[in-house]
Amino acid sequence: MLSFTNSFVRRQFPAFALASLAFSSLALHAEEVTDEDTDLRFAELLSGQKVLEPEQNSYIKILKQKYSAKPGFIAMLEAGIAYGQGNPGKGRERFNSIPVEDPYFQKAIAKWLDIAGEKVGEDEVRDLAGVAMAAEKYWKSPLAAKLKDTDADFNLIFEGMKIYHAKLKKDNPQEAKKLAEAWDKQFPKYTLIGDPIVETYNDFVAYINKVESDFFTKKVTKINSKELEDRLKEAANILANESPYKDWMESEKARVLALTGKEDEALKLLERREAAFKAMEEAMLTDKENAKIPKDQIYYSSPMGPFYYAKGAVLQIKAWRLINQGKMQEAIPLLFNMGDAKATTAMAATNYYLCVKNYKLAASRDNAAWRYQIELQPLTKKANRGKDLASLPGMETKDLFDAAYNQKLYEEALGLDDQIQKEFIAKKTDVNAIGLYYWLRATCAFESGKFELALEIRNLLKSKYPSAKNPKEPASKTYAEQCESMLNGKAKTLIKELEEAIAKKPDEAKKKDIARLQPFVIVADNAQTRLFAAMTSYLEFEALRSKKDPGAKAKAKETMDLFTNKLIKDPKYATSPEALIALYYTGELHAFGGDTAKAEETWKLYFIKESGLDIKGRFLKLCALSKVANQKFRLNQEDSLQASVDEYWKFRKDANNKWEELSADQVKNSVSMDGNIAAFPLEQSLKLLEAPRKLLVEKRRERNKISEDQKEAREAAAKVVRDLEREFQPKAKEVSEVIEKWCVTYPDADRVPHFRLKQGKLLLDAGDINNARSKFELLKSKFPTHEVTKAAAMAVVELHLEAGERGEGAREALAIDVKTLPEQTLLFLCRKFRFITKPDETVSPADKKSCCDLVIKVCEEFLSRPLADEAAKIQANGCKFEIARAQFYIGEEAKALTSFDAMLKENEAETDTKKKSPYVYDIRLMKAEIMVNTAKTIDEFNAAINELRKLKEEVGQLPAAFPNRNILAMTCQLFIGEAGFRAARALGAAAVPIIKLGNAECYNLYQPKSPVPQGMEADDWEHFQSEALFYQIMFNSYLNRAETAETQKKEFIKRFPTSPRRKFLNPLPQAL
Amino acid sequence: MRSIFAIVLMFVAMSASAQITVKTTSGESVDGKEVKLEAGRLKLTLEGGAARSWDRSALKQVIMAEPADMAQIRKLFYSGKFADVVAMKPKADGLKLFGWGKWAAYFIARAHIALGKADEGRKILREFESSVDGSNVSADSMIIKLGLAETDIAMKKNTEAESFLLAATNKYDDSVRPYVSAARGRLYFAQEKFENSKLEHLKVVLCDPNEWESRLSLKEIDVILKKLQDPRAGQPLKLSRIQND
Repeated sequence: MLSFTNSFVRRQFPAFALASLAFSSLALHAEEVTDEDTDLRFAELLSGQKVLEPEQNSYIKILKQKYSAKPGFIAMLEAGIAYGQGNPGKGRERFNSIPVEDPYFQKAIAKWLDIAGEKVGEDEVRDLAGVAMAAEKYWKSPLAAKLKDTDADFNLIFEGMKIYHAKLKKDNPQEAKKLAEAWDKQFPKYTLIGDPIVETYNDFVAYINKVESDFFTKKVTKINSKELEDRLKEAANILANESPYKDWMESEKARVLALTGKEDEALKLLERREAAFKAMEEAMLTDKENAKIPKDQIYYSSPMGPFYYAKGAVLQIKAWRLINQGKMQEAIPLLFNMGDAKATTAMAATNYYLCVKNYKLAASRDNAAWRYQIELQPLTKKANRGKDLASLPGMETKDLFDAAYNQKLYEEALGLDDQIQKEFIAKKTDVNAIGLYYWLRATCAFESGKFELALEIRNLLKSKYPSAKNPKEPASKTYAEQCESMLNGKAKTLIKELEEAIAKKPDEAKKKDIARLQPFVIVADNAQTRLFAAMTSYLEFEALRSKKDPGAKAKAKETMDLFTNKLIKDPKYATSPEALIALYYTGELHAFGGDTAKAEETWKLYFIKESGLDIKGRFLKLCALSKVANQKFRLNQEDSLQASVDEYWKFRKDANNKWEELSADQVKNSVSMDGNIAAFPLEQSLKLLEAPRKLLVEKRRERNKISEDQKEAREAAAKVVRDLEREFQPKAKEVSEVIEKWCVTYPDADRVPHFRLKQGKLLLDAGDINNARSKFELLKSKFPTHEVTKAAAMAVVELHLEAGERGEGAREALAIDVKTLPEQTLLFLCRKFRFITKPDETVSPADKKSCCDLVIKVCEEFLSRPLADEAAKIQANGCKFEIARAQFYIGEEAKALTSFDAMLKENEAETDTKKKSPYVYDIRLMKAEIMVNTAKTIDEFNAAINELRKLKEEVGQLPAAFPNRNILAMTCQLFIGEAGFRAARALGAAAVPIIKLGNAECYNLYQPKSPVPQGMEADDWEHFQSEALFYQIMFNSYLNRAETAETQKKEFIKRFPTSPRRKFLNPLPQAL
Repeated sequence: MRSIFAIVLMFVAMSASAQITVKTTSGESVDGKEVKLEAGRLKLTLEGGAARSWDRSALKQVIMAEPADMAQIRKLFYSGKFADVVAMKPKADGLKLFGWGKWAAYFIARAHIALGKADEGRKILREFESSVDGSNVSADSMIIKLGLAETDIAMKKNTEAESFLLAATNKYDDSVRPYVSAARGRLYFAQEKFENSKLEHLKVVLCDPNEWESRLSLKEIDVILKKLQDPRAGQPLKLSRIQND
């Protein structure tokens, strides 16, 4: 049926084709639109669609990008969307943010007036306050002076100005007057002030009503008579010739008299006028000309409406004054009858009743009803033993409720419920009105401290009228929602106040109140709070993961559950921006759980969903792309790696992404990501180089093991190494250059130190020690605090060790902050730099000092760490020992002895044999060594030797598995030898018995034909052997066995060509 | 109100005695009641029964209601009968002189795209570029460009399409607005900017709900929602009543 659509027809065949109008006017009908027009229109249409809420958010983002140069236009669009979403507060704020200099100012004001001023009821507009604000803003801008009544927006502005003026009149009558004068001068045809007669009367009545209300509610004790009288005079003058106002003013005059204390005069005045007024009313009602006018309207013009109200009020004022003086009995007859049917107009209640009954349009009718029902009724009940006043005709209790609510008479308002239930709720005519009633009633209950009742009402509203809402604001929240959030807010404020009061002065009742208020406090549940909870959990997971805590796995599962079920899969939040963020982090959790396929899938979905509308989203998308690529690289998924890398670069290099908007941190991260992606080929080459590198290192080690005697074997091994080196070096150089280039291209990437270290190690393995060292130095100077730098420093240390430069190495190591080193490295340094036996003169004093200092430093550091297990405790004992030994070696013998004694004492006190220090023998040995070294007399030498023999015996009884048992025993033997050697030089011939003892031990120790005993290092064995033989040579010389000594000397030179002892052999010492 | 208005117009448009205006390059404007092709020339029958004829070079604008062939092309296109639309090409040739050639070319081109032959579509558009304009010259020239942009998108020449759709179209006739928005929607989709794409299609749906194009856009929105695994996918969007102003 619809073979044409609207714009299509309009375009080709405009409406006036019906008439034979000239086609030349066709051109007028072609409407040009711009993107701005479309966006404005679309924003408005979109904002009214609840199902498109996620799109509203993304649309604002798109608009912000599109019109980034037009902030006024953006604000205008945002305001339109806010109004459409039923959020006039935000709408006002956005419109109001547009400065007058903005080119869109005028347009925005017109739009604002248009939207806020949209009629939603007979006399209601959508956002009255907004209209007033818009008009005010316009009026105060320079544009107002240029406004003409022929302008397209004039009517909008004029309507707005009326509302603004009305509001100003309430807040600041002086300003309102000025405004009206200025406007009227500019536009005499469009006056802001209404009929001056009506205005005068209304203003005066509003004024006197306020005074009267203050009097009845005892808010004001003293009435400003002068002002009252002046205002009366002023109004009466203006209205003197205006019918019906001049008659109405008579009644108002009576109220003024009563209020100023002249009640009787007031009553007399009314009495005088009553007959005439009644006659006037009668005349009006019978006038045939008025036949067609509704009766209510005739009554409205009658002077009797204001008359009855005024008379009631005057009587009530009189009664109130009597009550205040304690004359209740005198007051009551002025107010109502006591069960007698003789109700007369000499009573306030009767007058009010008559006013309400007949004068349905009279301005004073609501007041009359109020006084009757709320003020007189309770009094009647009390005085009249429960009898009510006659119910008011044509007045609904709900109207009274509204009146009570408006005057904040909450208790009274609550009391009307029974009546309202019967008259209003039971009829169920208007669910929305019922919703509103319950909402207001809940407020009344809360405000009068009846929290349980308020809660009950709230729950009733939620369960029975969940969809009731203001029919004029379809986008607004339901009354149930409004009630809930209002009570929540009120309860929170109140709880805070109570808590503050309790903090000052403990109060049990207040504590109970707080407990009573708790049910109102709503724990907000929205996408944002859910995301916040999930992110908190995620951060906890991250912390556990970085600590390699096994609990991370459980936490990851829990976090994933939060992300997935609370956001991604929950239909309520699935389309929220928060769900999108959740999706990104879920990928991370999948990857952690080892489900890499799922991780990739998740991130891919994230790419699709992430619209890239703001910089944060684009950045996270970049992260996700990088993560996919990294994951593929790690898993060697070479087939799809390149595609992922390409995708990353495509996105990274897309100028539309405006990376210049990234924050400093994000820039840093993105540079690192770039670096990582660019480093894939690098890592690939390093991986390829790994096998040849390992082979080379191994072959080198093999070569070094071959002794120098085996020349041929050594040469062959060296050739193998040389060949491998020749092959390895160019490759290593090439990769090193690639690394160099990468480091220069991405100087700020976080993996620069990592690659610098790899580069240095590579060069080191290639034998390019100088370059390696320079890379390590570069690393140390550029990244002094980086984790990897320590590794570089350690590499340099090892470099020195390998070259046999222990002193250099120790000094290098001393520069490392030992606090940051792991325990294993501390022990490694200790092992490498300690002296197992006392360093001889081949070691320079400086080197000795450095090495010992280092040992002391690392051992002290180790001891400062918490000890994880049994093994660490044993290691700790070792460290104590090493510290004392190092102190001993650097000449701090006193310190060393103190340490040794402390350790021995501690050990003796230890009852658990298992925990006894295994170093106790070493310590005693060390002490014995000190004895040997410091012995000067024969007795001292003997004492030392006795100690050593005793020790040797004890050690000999130890189980074979005791660590270093052999070394200990052998060292005892060696020290006895040393004692002999020293004694010979110190005592000469007197030392012969000691020499013999030493010789016997060394003879036993020297075992040229035995293999290296189990559990002993070849080096150590060699040391013992060389020393034992050396002492024998010496002793045989001293004992005048030159021949034996010569034979042994030849053997020594052949077996231990590098021993430092060789210099003592030429010539052999003289016999003693 | 608007929909009643549309129906009234529709009847008028279909009635045979629709008024036709021919504007010539010499500045002449002639009203007539019937038009047909005769030996490659446009023949206009005037009110009194007399007739005048022009050849292509003398014609500037021909203003008339949508001819039946044109209506047929559109109808077929929106019913998804793309092969039938393409088969309408000989009839479309006739529309070249009636001020409807460019619109015919636009729909035939899109039918070609739907059949996977964007290059064929391009040929048609180039061929019909020189058609006589209808009542709205700017809209007519725009529709050809939009057609070309659609072929660009189909041929993955996004940059070309973008330079036209996003820049040159800041001002356009409101009758082509839905086609502009829809084309942008398709461009963004091709660029994988799904959020933008969705919004452009929503513009068609909300700003021009009575256009047939809006039904296509609703389908494309659903495709995007499915792609985004959006819970709203696969069911009609619960849009509140849109007021037609």
